[in-house]
Amino acid sequence: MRAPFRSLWSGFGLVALLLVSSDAHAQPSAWGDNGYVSINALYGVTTETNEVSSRQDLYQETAEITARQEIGKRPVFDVTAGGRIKGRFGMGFGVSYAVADDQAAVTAAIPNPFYFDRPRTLDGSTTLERSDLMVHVQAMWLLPITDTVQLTVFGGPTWFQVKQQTIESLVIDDVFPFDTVSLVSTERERATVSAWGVNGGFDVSYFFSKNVGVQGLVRYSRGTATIGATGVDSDVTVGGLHAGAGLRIRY
Amino acid sequence: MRASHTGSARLGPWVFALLLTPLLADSAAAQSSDRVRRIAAQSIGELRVWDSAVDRMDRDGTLRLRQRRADAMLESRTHERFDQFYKGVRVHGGDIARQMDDGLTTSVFGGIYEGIGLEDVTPVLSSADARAAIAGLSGAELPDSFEPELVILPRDGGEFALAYQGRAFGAEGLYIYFLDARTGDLLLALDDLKTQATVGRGTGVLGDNKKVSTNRVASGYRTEDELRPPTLITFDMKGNLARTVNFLNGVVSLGVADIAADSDNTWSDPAIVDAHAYAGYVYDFLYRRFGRRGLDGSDSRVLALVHPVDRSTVRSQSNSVVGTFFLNAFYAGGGVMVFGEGLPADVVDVQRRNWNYLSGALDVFAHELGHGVTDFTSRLIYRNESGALNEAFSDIIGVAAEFYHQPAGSGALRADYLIAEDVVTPGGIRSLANPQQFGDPDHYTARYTGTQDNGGVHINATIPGHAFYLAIEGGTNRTSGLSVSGVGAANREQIERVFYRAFTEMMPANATFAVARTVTLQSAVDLYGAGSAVTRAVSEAWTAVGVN
Repeated sequence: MRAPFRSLWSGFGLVALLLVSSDAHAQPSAWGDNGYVSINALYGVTTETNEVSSRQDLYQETAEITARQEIGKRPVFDVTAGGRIKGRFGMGFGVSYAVADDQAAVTAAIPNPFYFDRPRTLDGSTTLERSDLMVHVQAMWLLPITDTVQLTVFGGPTWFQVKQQTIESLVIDDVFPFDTVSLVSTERERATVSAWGVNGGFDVSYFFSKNVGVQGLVRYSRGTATIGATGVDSDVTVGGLHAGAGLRIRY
Repeated sequence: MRASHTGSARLGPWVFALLLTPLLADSAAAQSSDRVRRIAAQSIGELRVWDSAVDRMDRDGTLRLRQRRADAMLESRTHERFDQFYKGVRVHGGDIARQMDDGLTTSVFGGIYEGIGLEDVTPVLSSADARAAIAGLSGAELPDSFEPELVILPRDGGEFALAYQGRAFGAEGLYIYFLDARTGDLLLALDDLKTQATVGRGTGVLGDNKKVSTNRVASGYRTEDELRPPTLITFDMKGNLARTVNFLNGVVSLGVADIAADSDNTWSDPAIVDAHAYAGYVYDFLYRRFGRRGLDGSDSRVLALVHPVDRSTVRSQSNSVVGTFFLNAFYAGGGVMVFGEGLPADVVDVQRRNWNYLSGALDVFAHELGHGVTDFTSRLIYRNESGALNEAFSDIIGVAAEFYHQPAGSGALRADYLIAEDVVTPGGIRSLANPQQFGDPDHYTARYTGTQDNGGVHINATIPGHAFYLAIEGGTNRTSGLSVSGVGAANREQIERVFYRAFTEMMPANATFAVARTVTLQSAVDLYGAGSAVTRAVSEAWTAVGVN
């Protein structure tokens, strides 16, 4: 997927040039001498419902399994760095990382051991670990509001790497007459996938010394990744709205 | 001969019966035929009399409780079965079935023999002598563990004989032999092969995919159903007739090597696939429809034997072997069923029918298992009308199992009222919808009264079978012209439950068609009420086939 990234990157470069040329009154000091680094503690404030399907050969048929998981409300660790290119315009990179064990609702159509095409419904739950690594490439526009307070607006592409536990197989409890089936446990495997998406947001920073300040950050990112589990591809939404605060250092 | 039971000479030592005689002389509750007193007590007065009589006979040893079971369909009901004994010896065919509702007797059906009058019930022959005699008669090699039972045998002339009863599988088939316990003379030999059919051949596989519940072992997979509660095993006899016969006679035991096996659990032998799958299908049907757990209600084993002979050898086999092991399926007792091999593709029977593997028909399989259920319940004597009821019940179970598992329609793997139509083509061997199609009677007046076929057990089975059909589907009997308002195909379960309950819980061993009518009506009243459409349908159906 390199070609789309190049295309997107070229687009941001063009926007940056336009911004630089139109901002004759930018204040370089707001960026610091070279740039800045911020370390942020964020939290996912929205959730996305993701369904990951898988299959399991059972009783000479295929059990169709779906794990439905609410992803989003969890801590996100973030480091962002940026530097001025010209005037109020700069470029930066942010790296965010989130990991959590979330409860997943498991539903499955479990074949009957004696007869074809007479599946039974299984409902259960399990815990599936999910981690998201997000690398944000950001075009930044920095606006000093006062001597100590400044606003940064940013946007750009994001590369997501998702490590999602999926259900490889179910351990079930079913006995004669096999009308019902219950979930005992799940055998899980980890799928690692990546995808491109976009991000955008802003931060407001307050400097209580020349180089050190605090900031509040809001970033929304979004992408779609395809997770293949036991031969079944499922599209899941990655990213989300993250908000929090951190330390910002100019240098 | 219709002997009155009012004479004291016929009552013999049964003082209780003497006391009851005036009360029952004109009652429908007690009918006399030869020396058997038929009991069909349903009214309060009759029940009071027979309930105390049964208790009294139980105490004095005239009756012995054989079985007590909870009714699988009516929670508060229980059913007791008693065998009749005379001076400590069981009377063959004498038994009583009593139904109780929370301890109160609600019906008593049965047949008990009167005037037995044998002074001495000590046999002259030893058990070993009897075994040797039966071995000689059957030509079978019988193990030392084979022990004939001493019984009182009611004779056709109204007399009674002290006899040894033993069952053996010989060159002529599976027979129950009755030997005079004093002289060793053969008194009676009953063909105990509950045969499904006799003439035809098969052309191969029906082609449907089935799941086969198997057991994985180190060397591969075996046809042992490990998922259902009972032991369900399918044996591949590999065409070894001698071994099959020796197993049926108890001379050899079947071992692990006899169980059908496959290396990858993808089974290619259609006879084995169907036998093993259908054993489970029928178990499931009995369990889900009637709450019955297997043949004896307690998950007893079912052993299915396939390939008892080599199909390619049919031309060199005797008629007896062809009729028994090629064109037949039979219940051999003890949960053992044998499924015939059918005929090679280039051989047809005298009616130009093809015969496939007998295990390939669900109704055939269910029919044979139905005999197993009968063996553990009513023990309908395999002769004359009781024998025809025995066969009829198996046909009913066969048809009902088809409708439970297969969509209604005509052709292969479709549910209908034909028997064995999936493997005997074209047409099958019997029809409950139109018995005349195969030359079988659809009315009591047309019943077979000769001695062949154990008194027409297969031939006359279509009379109660046709009543079962009419009670469900309705219609007009071709002989009587009487019409029946059936309950409709959508309500077939109601009639199935009525007949199943009647045959398994209340039917006496020596029942006649008339008793079967009374018992099934009692079952219908118990389950659905006296004024219900079900009871009306059952009554009309029996009337239409001439059984009143």
